[in-house]
Amino acid sequence: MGSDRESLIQELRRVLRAGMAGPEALSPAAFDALALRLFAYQYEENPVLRAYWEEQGVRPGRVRHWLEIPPLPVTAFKQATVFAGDPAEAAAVFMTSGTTRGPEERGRHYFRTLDLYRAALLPPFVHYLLPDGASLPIFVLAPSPAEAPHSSLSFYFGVIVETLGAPGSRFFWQEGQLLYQELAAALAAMESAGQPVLLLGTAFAFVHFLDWLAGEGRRFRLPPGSRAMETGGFKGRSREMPQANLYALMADGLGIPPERIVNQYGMCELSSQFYEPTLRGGPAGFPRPKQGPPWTRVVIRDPETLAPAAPGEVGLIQVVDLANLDSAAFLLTQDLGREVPGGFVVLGRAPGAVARGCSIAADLALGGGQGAPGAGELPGGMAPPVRGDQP
Amino acid sequence: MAAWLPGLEVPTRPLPVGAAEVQVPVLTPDDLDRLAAHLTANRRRYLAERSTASILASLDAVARRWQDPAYPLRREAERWIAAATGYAAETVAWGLAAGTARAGREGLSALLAAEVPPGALDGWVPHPGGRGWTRAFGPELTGFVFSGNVPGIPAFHLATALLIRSAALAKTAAGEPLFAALWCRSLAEVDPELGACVAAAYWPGEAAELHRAAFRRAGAVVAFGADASLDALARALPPAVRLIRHGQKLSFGCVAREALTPGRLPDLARRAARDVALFDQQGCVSPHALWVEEGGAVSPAAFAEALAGALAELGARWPRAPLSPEAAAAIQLARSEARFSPGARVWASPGSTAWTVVFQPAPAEGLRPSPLNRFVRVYAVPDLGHLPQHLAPWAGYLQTCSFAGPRDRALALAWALAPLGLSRLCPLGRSQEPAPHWRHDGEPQLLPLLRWVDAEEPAGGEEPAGGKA
Repeated sequence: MGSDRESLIQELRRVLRAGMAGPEALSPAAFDALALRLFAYQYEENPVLRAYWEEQGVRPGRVRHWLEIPPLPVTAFKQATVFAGDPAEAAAVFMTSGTTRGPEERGRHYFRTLDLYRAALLPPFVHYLLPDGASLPIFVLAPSPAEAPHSSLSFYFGVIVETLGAPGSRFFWQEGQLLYQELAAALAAMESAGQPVLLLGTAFAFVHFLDWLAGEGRRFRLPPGSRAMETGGFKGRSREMPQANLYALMADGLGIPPERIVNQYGMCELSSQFYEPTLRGGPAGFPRPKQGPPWTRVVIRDPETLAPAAPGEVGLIQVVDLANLDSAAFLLTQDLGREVPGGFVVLGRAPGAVARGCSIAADLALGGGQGAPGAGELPGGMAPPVRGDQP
Repeated sequence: MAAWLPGLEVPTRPLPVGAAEVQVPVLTPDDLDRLAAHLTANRRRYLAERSTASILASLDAVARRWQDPAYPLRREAERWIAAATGYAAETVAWGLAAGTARAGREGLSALLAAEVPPGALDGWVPHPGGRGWTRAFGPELTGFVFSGNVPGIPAFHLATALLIRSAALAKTAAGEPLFAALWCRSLAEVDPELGACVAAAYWPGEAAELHRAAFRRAGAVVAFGADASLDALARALPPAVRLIRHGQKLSFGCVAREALTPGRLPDLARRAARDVALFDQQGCVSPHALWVEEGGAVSPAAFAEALAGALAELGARWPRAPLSPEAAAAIQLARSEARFSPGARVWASPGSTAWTVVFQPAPAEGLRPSPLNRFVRVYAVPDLGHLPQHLAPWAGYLQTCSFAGPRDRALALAWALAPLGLSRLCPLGRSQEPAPHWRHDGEPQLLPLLRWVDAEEPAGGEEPAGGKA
């Protein structure tokens, strides 16, 4: 099947190169055809997927549309090697953050090549964060790839800084610590030089930095043109707050108004990410829709039946990511969401159990029983996933 | 209306509950303060001097009314609770019949016999410790906070307050605010004086100032529910008011190898399915998992398969309640995870989350709590003697163990698990029917509410006449 993989890579490269050109580059019919080819490839080459699909009575040739392909629950990345290849020969492995159940519960996403990942992450980032073609210094509130080699989020930030960052771009993180002083000094320099800046980080890191700033009694008025992207939730870390509150804090502490802040939704198990089109004239109020590149699809699945939910109904978020060539392109996340005009919203992680009375709930006593990930990550140098629960 | 408020007239508002709606009172702290005062005054007038026999007679008459399927209040409760909770109508009817029967003469007499020396609530009785006399009395007012997960539960607890001559003021749950009020109404039908000593109403759980006003005069508050709600309630109560907590618990089932024969398998599976299906595992007595011993004539995996069949069959008679997206998603995620667990097998209702059985070897890290709503794990275990080790992480949360197998092994297991908090052993299939004299969560039910006065021989006095006030 080696030649299949080669021709698939060729085709995927072509699609990724077309970037955000959209339907002109990848019509619904072309998406469906490519998705079915990927399904056939993953069925042949990925034993975990093959066993999963066989159990469901699904195989290539019997499927007429990608919607009929049962998505793999992301939890499988924790328990099995979801990889079309030999893990010992993987070019890279990214891991989800640890849980209270220990390191063996971390999900592993293996890659035979990172080229597709690189090619998949850049066009949407440019489209949603730099629609004006700006070239900005990029300040990252997260560890660098060198510091967190198994973090997909750090890799993602690394590619962005390396490819798009203007001089002065850097990671403000060292040995598991956010570099508060250095970041504040760098922001002060940008402020006085009138140089707009792009801030990237986890929601959790922004909260910590803003708390620290408030404690120091400091505020910045970053120059117009500045913007920020935050990702990841808060579960189990720092204090939780609604997105609107976080953005109000960011506006107050950094001088970046909410309409110039974008939330990114991604996860370790994916190669592509989803963004709010705020900087492209999307709504600045909340909740905001999220959108992805043309080689992705999001389907909200009725949690009772797993059939596609009626428009606007709450369900589990399924992601199809055609750039996930050697792992799994059809994934069922652990997040609840719903379709809205212009995209979808993420409502957050489904709870472990829902008790109405006095039966114990799964998350109690054992501190996050159902493999609850520290979606926030990072203190102690934990490898962060690109995981985007809505803050 | 979801309230029984003797002597109080208040405005109401509609409260949607599941597929139903009910009128609930709009209460102020002042209303509840006046209500509590009114109840304690009525208690002095109508209840303090009543005999146990006459109270039991009225309570038994109430229980008998509720045993009649045509009794209008029972019909109203059945219809409304089924719509509000989504529980299968037949299980709601069963729960109401069982819960109200428990509050009748037989159940209450068993409870009295278990906890109070005969006659001690009616007069002086010889002290069980030897010389002298003793006599017990309850607080003027007992508060209750009910959770709405199992229909019919409040009847028994309200009745216990009356047995000890205490007025009762109950806060009901948003998930099922109605039944307690209907039971109070039926009590008033039978015995208006007793009916004037009880009250039940829904008010929001977050309303600390309402809790304080309602329960300020109570000797104790008996509360059921999630630990976080009980913590919030504790913060709202004045320090002098004793809080008796029935918080979150974890229950489970066990099948010993001796019971695992092909002949008994269908009955065992039906019993386990009943424990799981009744009230969709929302009760604290509902099992999260079953441990099934290896080495019997039927394997644990075969038991799991039979249980899946029994749950499917029961699902046709007792459909599971419709779930919120969160609750359904929790089941899908737990199923997904089980599918990729080494050695696990999953039986699941096709195209729905109606029921799920996960079979797996008992994991070293112990029991995994269920996402509930008819999701049950079957753990294969070489010997039930290993259970204390598997359940150690849940010390303090254990409650009911439903058991199939030899009695001596059952008793040995219960004793081994008692230090971890186990407070009840029962036959498989009978999880939902705790005996009225059960020491609920390991504590007596009347004793914590009672005060006692002991009399030693007075100098030069006469013996008091037993039974005289």
